[in-house]
Amino acid sequence: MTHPAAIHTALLLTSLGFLALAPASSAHAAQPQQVTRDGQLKFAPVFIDRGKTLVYSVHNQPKRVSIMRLDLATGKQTLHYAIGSDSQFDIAFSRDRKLECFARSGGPRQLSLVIRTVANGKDIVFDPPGAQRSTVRSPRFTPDGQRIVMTMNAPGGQQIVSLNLQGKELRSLTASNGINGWPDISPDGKTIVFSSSRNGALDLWLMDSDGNNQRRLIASPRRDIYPSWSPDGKRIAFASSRDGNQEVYVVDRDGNNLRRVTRHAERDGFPIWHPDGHRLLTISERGGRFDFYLWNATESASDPTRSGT
Amino acid sequence: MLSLGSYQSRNCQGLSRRSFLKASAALPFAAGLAGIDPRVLAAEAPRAKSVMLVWLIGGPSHLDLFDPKPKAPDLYRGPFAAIDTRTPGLQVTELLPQLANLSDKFSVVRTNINYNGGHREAGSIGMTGYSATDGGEGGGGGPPGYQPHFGSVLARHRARHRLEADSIDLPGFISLARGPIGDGVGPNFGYGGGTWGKGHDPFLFSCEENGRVSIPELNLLEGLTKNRLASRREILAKLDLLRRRADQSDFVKWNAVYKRAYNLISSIDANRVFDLSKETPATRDAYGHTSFGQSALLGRRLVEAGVPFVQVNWSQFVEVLFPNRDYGWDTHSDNFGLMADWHGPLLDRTLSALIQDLDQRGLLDTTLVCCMGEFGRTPRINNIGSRDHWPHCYSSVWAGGGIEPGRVIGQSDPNGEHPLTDPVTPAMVGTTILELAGASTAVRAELKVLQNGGHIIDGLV
Repeated sequence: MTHPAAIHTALLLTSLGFLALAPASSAHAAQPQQVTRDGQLKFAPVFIDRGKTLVYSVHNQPKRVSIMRLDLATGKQTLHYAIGSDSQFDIAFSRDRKLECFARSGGPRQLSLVIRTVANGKDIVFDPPGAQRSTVRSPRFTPDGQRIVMTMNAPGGQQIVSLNLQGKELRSLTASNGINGWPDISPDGKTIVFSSSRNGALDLWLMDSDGNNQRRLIASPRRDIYPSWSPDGKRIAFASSRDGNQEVYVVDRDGNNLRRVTRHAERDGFPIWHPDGHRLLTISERGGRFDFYLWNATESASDPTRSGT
Repeated sequence: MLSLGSYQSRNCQGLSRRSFLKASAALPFAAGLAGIDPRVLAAEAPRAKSVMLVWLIGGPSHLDLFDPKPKAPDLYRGPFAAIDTRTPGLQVTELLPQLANLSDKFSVVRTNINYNGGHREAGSIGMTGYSATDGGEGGGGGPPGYQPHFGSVLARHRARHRLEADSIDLPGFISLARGPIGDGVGPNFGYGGGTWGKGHDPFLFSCEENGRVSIPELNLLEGLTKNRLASRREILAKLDLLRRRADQSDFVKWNAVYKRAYNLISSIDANRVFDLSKETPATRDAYGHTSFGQSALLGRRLVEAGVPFVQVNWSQFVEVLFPNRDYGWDTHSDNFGLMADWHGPLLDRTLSALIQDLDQRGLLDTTLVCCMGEFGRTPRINNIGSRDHWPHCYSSVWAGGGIEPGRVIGQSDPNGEHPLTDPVTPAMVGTTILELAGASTAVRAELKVLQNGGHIIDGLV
């Protein structure tokens, strides 16, 4: 039974556009906790500070995308970086938190990668080769902190590449036809999961960290995107429209034990794992608004009338 | 909730008559209503009492939305699956599941063409029917080089032959965007009166994701703030100051905007139209809480109030992920990521909500909805894994107002590069819109618009 004081706190924070996170044990199957209530278009969330802080990209102004941080204990939302005329998004953090990287508009390329040293604010900027419209997206630091894996456009498609922390030594990890995107690196650093349309539809694929041994993990006629490794490296969460609407699913790393986490007529996407390994954070569209929701990942969605909010 | 420039007010009544010059009550209204006699009614009601042009500025990819090519080679196909709809022979991509389930309410034209590959020129041609006679946006021309916008034509026609349902308080042509639509270089010259002059431009309103409505033109006027609008004396002082200034263009601009705003704000009924809080939360949710979504809802309210022509713009600028630009369809890079994340699903939600809402209110039969951009995007994926401009073949969606729903009009070639059947030109788009809205061949001849090469799109009506 919930303590009255907890209800009071929740109501207070709700009025501030935020709902406090409850302990993991209180999360019920298929009934998520709503974490924010601002409804803004959000994407690419990342947990830091052992799950105490959420950093994400948001369309918080008509002509700009910004990186925000949300203190999950207080509900306080602040800009992660000062606002300029450019858009900043897709942030990633090195495991030791000494480096951050993100995509930025407004340079000589449409989207460049910025590698920022936190201690002194010094930036190294990687401008993707090729046309002025070239882009990078979805950067991730390798767990050993030596390289960054991300997507980069290529003739006729999109590939996954890696580069060192000086923005040099660019290596192609994929070289297939189609679109390769949304890479995520396993906690042990040995395997990368990503989405690829090389066989037609966007399916989930795995490859070794050097790009070798590429093999399909799971497939459907519809898109499977936004894969995210669990903290223990045993499961992968992702979004898929395999059942018609875009929902969030979890599958074991061997491709078995597929189960659906969300079940709602509106979209669910951008899943990431809470560091506790039991809960999944999604950006879910409810009532035409986009907010963070926290789900118990150990149980599957069942009755659609009980799910969603 | 309507605001003037930077001024916002929940109490529309409080903002209206007391805050504005009463002496000018007889001023002619904006574009569509200048000089009209409201007693003059059309002899016969057209099939479309109102038109909603849903303008996807920037050029949406036809292969990734309404004309998927699942059997095309890798370099063309794209990653999105084709899904069946309620319409035999019509597949759309998996990004549009709600529209797929609603396809018996609309038809798709798959052979639109344009004559220019530049955003501003193609946009102007798409909204007026013809290329500029003076070089256009890129050739040193100006707005008078274009024929009047379809909306300007309809507004002028209805000003002379008003339908009983037409509003006498609201402009005949309203455009919804954060500002004049265009690209980073400048606005589309063909967005308004063209050869007829600025008096036939649309009245521009901005609707934000929270439903706040404002008049962007007033923000452009230097020094016009809440305080400056607070009293008649200050307004007169401002007018006098402007009159004395050497630059008369400022005065002309201010005076025109002022007159239009005055008349609108003077009308309490008109103000109620702009208050989206009058809608149920469920309705507002259905459209989605984006600027585009709430603008579409506002557009429906304007149609309901009797505005003959409403243009709902996806964004103000064509560009996306550019500094100081909003969120257009010009996906030269990261087309597939952007389409999956936002553009496809947001369009699916809002357009399906609009069609359903109009239908449930009994308005769809008398409201023509046309959704399209200035062109499509290259079927062949470019050197940076995305798609560029493609005016040679693209798609449009049509619903209500005399359209036969559940049809696929025209066929593109196996890679979606060119029409296999008769191309649908911008003049045919305009002719179809105006014909259904009551501006007949005779009317268009009298107004000297859309006389060359235009006819109703075969099979659509």
